[in-house]
Amino acid sequence: MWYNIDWNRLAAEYMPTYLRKPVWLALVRSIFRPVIHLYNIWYEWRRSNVYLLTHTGQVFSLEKSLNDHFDIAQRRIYLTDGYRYERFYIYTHAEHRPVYLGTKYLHPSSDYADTGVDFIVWIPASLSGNRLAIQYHVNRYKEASKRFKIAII
Amino acid sequence: MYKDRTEIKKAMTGAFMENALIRDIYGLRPGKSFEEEFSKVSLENALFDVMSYAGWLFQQLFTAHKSEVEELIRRQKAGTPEWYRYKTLQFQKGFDLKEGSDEFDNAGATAEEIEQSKIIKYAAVTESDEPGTLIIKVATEQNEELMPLDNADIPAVETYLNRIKWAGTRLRILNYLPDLLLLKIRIYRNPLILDENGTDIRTGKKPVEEAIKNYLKNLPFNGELVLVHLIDAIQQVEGVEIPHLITALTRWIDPSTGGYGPWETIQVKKIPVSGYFKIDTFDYIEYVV
Repeated sequence: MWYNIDWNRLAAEYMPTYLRKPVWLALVRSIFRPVIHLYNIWYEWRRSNVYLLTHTGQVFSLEKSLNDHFDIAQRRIYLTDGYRYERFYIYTHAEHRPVYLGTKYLHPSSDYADTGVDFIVWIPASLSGNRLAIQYHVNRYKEASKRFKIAII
Repeated sequence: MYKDRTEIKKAMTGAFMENALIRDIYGLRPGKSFEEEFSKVSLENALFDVMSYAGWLFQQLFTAHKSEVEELIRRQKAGTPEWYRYKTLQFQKGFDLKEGSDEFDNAGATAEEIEQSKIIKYAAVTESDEPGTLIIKVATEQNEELMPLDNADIPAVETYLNRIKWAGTRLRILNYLPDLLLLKIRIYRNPLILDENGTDIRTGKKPVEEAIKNYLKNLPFNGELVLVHLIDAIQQVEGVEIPHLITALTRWIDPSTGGYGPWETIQVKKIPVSGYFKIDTFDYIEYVV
């Protein structure tokens, strides 16, 4: 591709034939040493630019880039919508609003409709050490205003 | 930006020729150019050549990458309502998405198969009152008449949209039967042209009903029905002296029951909940002299 350049070969090919002696080639290659270094930095920079631009906060894309970065082999990370539980209230005696509890489940506040998150990033327990990096990654790609949390599968 | 490689080389050789120390060492004559003082086969020339080539290559790399990035930014998925609408219309029944893409894999399918798999003919996207939720109204077409999609196809549409949507956006897909429209209109007719049933005496057609149907058909999907405009359209019919709207009622599918809700009066204008209207009956249009 146009962005792959073999500088050493290029240096040799670009020298006139009568100067293609080991000592002159060594000279040109030495001159090219920092050029190659800069080129490598540029190459990486281009690669990450293109990756960043071709991946978005769309569900399939975010799942792909998360797995590319954190779970390359097993690809277990996935996204779901956040929960939207209704709140359940109980009242003080004076309010005269008796409520029969039955079985009730307690949820973290991020799982309720009014305070909840918009989506959940599910990661395997073995990746919990990468939580911060994953959070940074999602923040970079997600749509502004969308709230999320990371949960263990 | 340099125009070409020679320009880069000139920048180097120019600086080289100006340098007093260099001029002393080489014994260069003032006012002479690099080409005049150094032979083409000299090592100096070869070195400047190869280095200007490296600079030129770098410039080309940067330029190419710049336009590449600009193109990618231009194609960035916007996530606007219009984009969601476009994507909804792109849905293809029975096709899978390309790996890591929001486009369908059409490899090996004929143009006809692709056309047939696009079952959603109409779509409208609006933002819901619920935070972070988009309402996507869909409909298809049969014999030039709008109708809901087969409910069996909706899970596939949902899965597709949930894959390609921006993470965290909620989508609600409405695939309802049309909103019913009941018009109570009194038409003051010209008895020479229209009979008491609204039939054109000469052609035997019902021009008022046709005008209403035509008006509804020309409404965009999820477009607003404006009663005054409807009446204007009826006024255009030959033989109609005064079209007087008494009431316009509408009802739509109530998702909690699955059936139609109660009739409600339309004030001035109305966007159909399902995205489109269907005339319930023309029985309430009376023709008087």
